[in-house]
Amino acid sequence: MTPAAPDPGPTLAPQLAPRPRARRATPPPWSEGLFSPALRYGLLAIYVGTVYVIVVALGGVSRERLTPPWWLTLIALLIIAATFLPMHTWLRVRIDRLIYDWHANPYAVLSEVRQHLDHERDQAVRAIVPTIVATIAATLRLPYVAIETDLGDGAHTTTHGTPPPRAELLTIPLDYHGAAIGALRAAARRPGESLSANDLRLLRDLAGQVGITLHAARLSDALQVSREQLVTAREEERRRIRRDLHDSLGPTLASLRLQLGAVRRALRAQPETAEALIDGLRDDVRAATAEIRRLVYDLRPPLLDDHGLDGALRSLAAVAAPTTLTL
Amino acid sequence: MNRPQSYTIAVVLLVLFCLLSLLFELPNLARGAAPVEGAPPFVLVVINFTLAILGFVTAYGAWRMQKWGVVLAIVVAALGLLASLPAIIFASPSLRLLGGLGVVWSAAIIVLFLRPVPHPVSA
Repeated sequence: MTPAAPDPGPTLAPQLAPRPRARRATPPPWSEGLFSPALRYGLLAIYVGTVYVIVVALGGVSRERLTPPWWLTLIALLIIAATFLPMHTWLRVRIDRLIYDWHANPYAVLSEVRQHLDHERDQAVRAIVPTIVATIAATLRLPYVAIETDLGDGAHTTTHGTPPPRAELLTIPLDYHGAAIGALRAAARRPGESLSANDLRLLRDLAGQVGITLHAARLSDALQVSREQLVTAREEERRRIRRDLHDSLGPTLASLRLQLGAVRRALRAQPETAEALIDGLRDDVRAATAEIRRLVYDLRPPLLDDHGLDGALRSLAAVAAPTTLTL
Repeated sequence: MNRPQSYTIAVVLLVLFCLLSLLFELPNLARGAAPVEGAPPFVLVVINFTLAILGFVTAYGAWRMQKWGVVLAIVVAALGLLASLPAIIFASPSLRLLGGLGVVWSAAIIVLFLRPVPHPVSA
C-alpha cells in the first residue's frame, strides 16, 4: 500500500473532474445474466455426458458392442447423481466469479466492506482512509483503488495498487448530504478493459458508505481538536490565575505582614507613627480587596450571567467605543 | 502482469492441445471428405481443426488476462472435450487412447481456468 501522498493539485475540485472513459470491453449486464447460466449448464451437460461415456467405456462398451448392460448404466447414473450438486455448486461459484468479476453477490461485498468500516469507526480520518482503500481493493479484487480527500492539512490521495495499462479509471465523487468530501477512484481489472455495470453499481453504493464514514471520521477529528483546545484553554486560564496571585496579591499580603510587624513595634513607644501605619495598612487592605474582586470578576464576569456572551461582548464594545485610534 | 500460475499452465496446455490437434487433423483434412477406414469422420476433423485455430486466439486472450479470452478458452476446451468424447467408444483402440487423452487434457484446462485465483489480478 502506498502511504498517503501529498496531492499534486492545488485544490480538490480539479481532481473530481470526470476523466475520459476507456473503450467499454465488457458486455452489458443482461448478457452477463444469461451467459453465466448458459456456460454453467453447458459445462454440466458435458460433464454428465463425459461421466456416462467414461463409465460405459470402462465397462467394456465399444463400437463392436454398443449396448451397455443395465447395471453399467445404473452405476453411471449413481455417480452422476452423487456428484451433480457439488459440481453444480462448484461451477456456479467459479463461473459467477469469472463472469461477474468476483462478486456475484453484491450484498455480501457491501456487508463485508461495512463490517470493515464499522471496525474502524473510531479511528481518525488519516488512519481510516488506507483501510477503506485496501478493503475495497481486496473485496472487489480491483488492482487499483484511490481515495482523494482532505485530511485536515490539504487534499491527499491514498492509493492501493497500480492501474493496469489502458484500463478504465473510474472516478466517483464522495459526498455527504451534497457536501463534497472527496473522490473514489477505481481501475478496471485487466489492461484495456472497462468496469462492468455491476462494478459501477457496487462502487456507487460503496461510495455512499465511504462518504458517510469519512464524514463521521472528520467529525470525530474535529471533536478531538475541540477537546484539545478546551484543555489548552483551561490550562492557560490556570496559568493566568497563578500569575495574577503570584504577581499582585502575593506581594501585597507580604507587604501587609511587614507593616503589621512595624505597627506592633511602634504601638507603645510611638503611638502617632503606629496610627499613621495603620491608616496605610487600611489603604493596602482596600487595594488587596479590590485586586481580589478583579480576579474574581475576570474568572466569571457577571455580565456573562446577566446578558450572555452576546450582551457581554456588546457591553465591552460600548465601554471600548470611546477609545479611537487615528493613524 | 501478475498472472496466476494456474492460468499460465492452462494456456500452455491449451496451446499444446491446439498444436497437437492441428498436427493430427491436417493430414485428415488434406485427405478430404472421402470416407477412409479407421479415420475419424470428416465433420469431426473440420470441427477439431476449427477449434484448434480458435484455441490459439483464445489462448492469446487468456494469456493477456482478458475475460473474453478466459471464457472462450473454457468454451473451446469444452467443445474439444465434446469432440474427443466419441473417440472413447467409436474409434479404433489406438485412437481411443488419443480420445481419452483429449478428454482428460480438455478437462484439465477447464479446471485450471476455473480454479480460484488467490490474489487480485493486476497488471
